[in-house]
Amino acid sequence: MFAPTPLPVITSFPAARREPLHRRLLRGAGRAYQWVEVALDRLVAPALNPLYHTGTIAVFSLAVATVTGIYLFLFYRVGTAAAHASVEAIVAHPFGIGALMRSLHRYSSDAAIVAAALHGLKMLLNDRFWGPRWIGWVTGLALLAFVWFTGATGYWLVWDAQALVLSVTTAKFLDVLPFFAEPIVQTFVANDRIQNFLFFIVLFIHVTVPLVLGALYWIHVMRLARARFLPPRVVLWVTGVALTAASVLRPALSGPPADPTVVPASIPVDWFYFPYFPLTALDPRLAWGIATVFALVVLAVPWLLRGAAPATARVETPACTGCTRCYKDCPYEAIVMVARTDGSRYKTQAVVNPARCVGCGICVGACDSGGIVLGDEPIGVLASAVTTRLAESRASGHDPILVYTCRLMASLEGHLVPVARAGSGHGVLRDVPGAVVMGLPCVGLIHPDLLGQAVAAGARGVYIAGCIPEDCQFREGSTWLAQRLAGARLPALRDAPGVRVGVEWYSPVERARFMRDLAAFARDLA
Amino acid sequence: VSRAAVTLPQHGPRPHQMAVFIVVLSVVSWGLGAFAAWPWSPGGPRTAYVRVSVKHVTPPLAVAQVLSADELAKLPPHMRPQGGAPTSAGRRADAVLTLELDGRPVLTRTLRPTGLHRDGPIHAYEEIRVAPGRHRVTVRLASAQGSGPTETRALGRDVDVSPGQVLLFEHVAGTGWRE
Repeated sequence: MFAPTPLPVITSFPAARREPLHRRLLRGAGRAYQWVEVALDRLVAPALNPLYHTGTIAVFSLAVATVTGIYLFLFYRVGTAAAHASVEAIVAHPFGIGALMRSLHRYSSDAAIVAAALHGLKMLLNDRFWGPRWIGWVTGLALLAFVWFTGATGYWLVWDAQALVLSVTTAKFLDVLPFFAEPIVQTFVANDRIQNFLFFIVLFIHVTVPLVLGALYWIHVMRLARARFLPPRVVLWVTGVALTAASVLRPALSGPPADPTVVPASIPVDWFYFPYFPLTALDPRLAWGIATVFALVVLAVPWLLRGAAPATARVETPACTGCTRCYKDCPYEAIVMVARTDGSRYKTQAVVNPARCVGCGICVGACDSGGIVLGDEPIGVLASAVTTRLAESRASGHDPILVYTCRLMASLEGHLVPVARAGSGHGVLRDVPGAVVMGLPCVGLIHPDLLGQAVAAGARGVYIAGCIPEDCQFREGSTWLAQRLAGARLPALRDAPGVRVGVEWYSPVERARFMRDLAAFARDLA
Repeated sequence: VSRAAVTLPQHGPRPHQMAVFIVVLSVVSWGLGAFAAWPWSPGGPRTAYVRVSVKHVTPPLAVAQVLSADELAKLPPHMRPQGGAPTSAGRRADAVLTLELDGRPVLTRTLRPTGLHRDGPIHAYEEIRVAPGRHRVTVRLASAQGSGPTETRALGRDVDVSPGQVLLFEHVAGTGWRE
């Protein structure tokens, strides 16, 4: 019997400790969301799944709104009568150009706010909002608020019945504050009280706030290496086609002109922007209370729902050769190259900024010299743990397969059993004899040399179950791994006679597909 | 094999997935168009409104003070009241707004002057729902005149209110009630 050794701190079986209730609820909601993603994956393929590109679809939609907005700006006129009339005149432009521009402007604004909201929901339910990622969460909320504000002012400029409802409800909301000497709502008791100057102010806000959006967006992605601004080309084109189709088939129309002496029986409302309209009958003070509590809670989410701090990376300077691979591969710009301080023959060394490190370990997989440790443990600890577990498995009569996986571990834990003795800290899949599972934060942590070492230690083959690249928990781990194994990225897989490696991508909830694929891989090895 | 045998995923969209993608996008397009202009009834059926908007300057509570020549001389030139007019007496009086519908009071509000020293005008904006039909609407604005009698400004009208109509009763400072 082999003496069991504890697993490296970076492995995720068995779970280090039971998470509190709010974290388990969040994970449960996350699994429900991931099933929706899986359903779309199977319907349209991951490469086309719009739920994996919500952030970039929002940016693209805002770009469309900006371009079409310039066209509308050229023909827009201010004034209670002129505003509505000018928008109607734009819609009547020859060849349907004006109608198309106006409709694209509206629907791209809608698509932007929907995509941005879905993006935030995805980040929340996939646990990507705390630790160093708090800044993305907070600036994302600010972006969403500014997108809403910009869109709302755009609706106001049309000065139709919806704009009047927006004006009156917003004015009542603001009038609760003790800042205004005169109730703003009195401005809207009659059209002749509304001065053209107010239209200029709102138009100015509508045009200039997008500049703030640009600055906020820069902060939003400043901690991301190789931040993507636009979706993949095919998704970009089909998003554009979808917006155009909506514009042609269902052109955006104004409501009736704003008339404060009439409450229309029915008005068209953009529910993407104004879902709260039915609540405007509430006392404004209650509305302020609800809005304030909601905003504070949502802003505090990165601290209220945070998980256990991950093991972060650190550079063992004497071993660092200054090759810059970790610096290039880090998806969060948490590594910088600085001048050497230890008198080594290498000119530079890598330094990890722990405030930015999310503990993915991609840098560990990029390092040839073992110069980076994760959680104070070098990759050699993982390799020796794998060797031990494979040996234990062979001693138990199995012909083992080594499985490396990441987020899928959450679905596997109930299906893993210890083989040597309880508490030895390694898992073998109950349904696939001899499958030794090592859960990692990210499969990008796998240095290609680990695969050869595993086979040398007795594994029949190695199966890697990573995240779908479009949805990698750490952005680029799956992509870098695939490129390393294909020899397209350093460190590349070296000649390793006899090593059989299978790689597949899974959503964290796709346990059944993983089991089928792994069983097929095991049969192929036999 | 001299090199490791690696099987990497190759998942491009298949033709039927492209077709489903187009269907999904069509549904999304329809959803965008539909929910960007879904009808809503802001007042509910068979509803009308009476709105009351008030701006009024009530008189000062305290007796106005007339400065003596010596007091005027101590003031900087730009702060001296023109023509020996009284100086500001500070806080102004509250006013009471009452709205009666068919002789029945449906709204009573005590309105305080604005400003830190309560020496500004009073403002109010009130809105009540009424059933369509013929109504007698009376609005009153009562404010104390210092130590003198209360001044009441009232307007009463018999009106036919149709569904969706908004009746505005507006009190303009210096002018009084107007419809």
